[in-house]
Amino acid sequence: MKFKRIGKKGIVSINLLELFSMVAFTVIIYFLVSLLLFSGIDSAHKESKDNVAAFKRVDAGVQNLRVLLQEGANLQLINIETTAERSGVLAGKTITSCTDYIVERDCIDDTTAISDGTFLCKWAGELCYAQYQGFR
Amino acid sequence: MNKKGLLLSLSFWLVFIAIIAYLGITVMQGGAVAGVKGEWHINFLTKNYLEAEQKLLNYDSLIYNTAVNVAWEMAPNGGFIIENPSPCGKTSNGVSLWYKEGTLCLPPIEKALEKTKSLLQKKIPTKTYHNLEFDKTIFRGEGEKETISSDVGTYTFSTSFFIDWGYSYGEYNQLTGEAWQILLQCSGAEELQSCLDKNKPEHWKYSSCITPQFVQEKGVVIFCVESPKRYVLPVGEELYRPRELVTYNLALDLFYAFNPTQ
Repeated sequence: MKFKRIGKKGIVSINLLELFSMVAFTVIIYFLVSLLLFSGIDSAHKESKDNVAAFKRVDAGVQNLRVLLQEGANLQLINIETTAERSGVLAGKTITSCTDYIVERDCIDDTTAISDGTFLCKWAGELCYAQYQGFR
Repeated sequence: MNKKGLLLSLSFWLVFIAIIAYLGITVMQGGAVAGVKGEWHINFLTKNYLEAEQKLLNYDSLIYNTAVNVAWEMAPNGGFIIENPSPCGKTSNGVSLWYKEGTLCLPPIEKALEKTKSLLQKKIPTKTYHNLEFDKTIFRGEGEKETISSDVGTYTFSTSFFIDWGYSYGEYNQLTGEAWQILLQCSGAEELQSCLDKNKPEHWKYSSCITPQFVQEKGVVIFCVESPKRYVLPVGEELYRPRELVTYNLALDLFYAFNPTQ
């Protein structure tokens, strides 16, 4: 099988407009590729950091529950898994139960939304505590 | 431009436009998919390690509650468990006697461990614990290994526990020694109340720890003894349980003189 050779005229017959267009497209491709790579890396980094933050939050939630157990709390009344997962972060501190709030406003507002609707955070005597709705 | 050149030029531009279109669409869809750093590791920690930590906390909570319940069962019973009451019997109002008619009936504290172990077996039937031990305020035991499997791997962890529950059964040794002293000093004494006032430790109260009142019935005196080390344990069934001072209820028959050689 023989390949037809392209003549020199075919290769070099590019006019000035085409040359400028090629340069412009090359620049566009360069930026697109850069944007593509950077945005990809950036979103991967963000996802990676979010994953670590989520893990640390739940892990700290479990440790907070350990402290509660040490203080005599009856953890059999709560679902450890969902309570730890509902933990929020406020000014670098992981909030798992009402007793973790140290500021009255945050306690009353339940700033990190740890309540699942079964209890309300109440402030009394410089401490935040959970007031259960209904049966408790 | 001849025909061949035109064909080449057209093909070139078509490929060029196709590349730009592909890149443009990819950028609009959020960029190239780069591998997320540490994705497997985080998945492993979340699906296996955290799961294990939550399980261990649940076991610890059950173990802690069981130990607390047994301690609260024993203290008002003078250190006796319900299944194994004092051989000296009880007073008319149900207080365990430690000494009656010359017989000393001190509480067998090792029963606390047996009772805790049997309750644990009921509460966590899937687990068997060995070498359970109360060592000062530490309650520890060896558990079997447990494995968690997920789509990212397998994690095996020990279910042994080591809980500082803030209470020690060793306190009964001190109470026994103090009871022994009271018996030596005051058993058979004619002026029983004044002898006891002089010789009983401050944390030994008459009848009740809230409103102490000396009452004797044929030489039998009921005591409410406050924890000498001021140990507190949680009471009640709420999530945030208050902690109360441990108090022991016991009675001594001081009518008969105590003979330690018997």
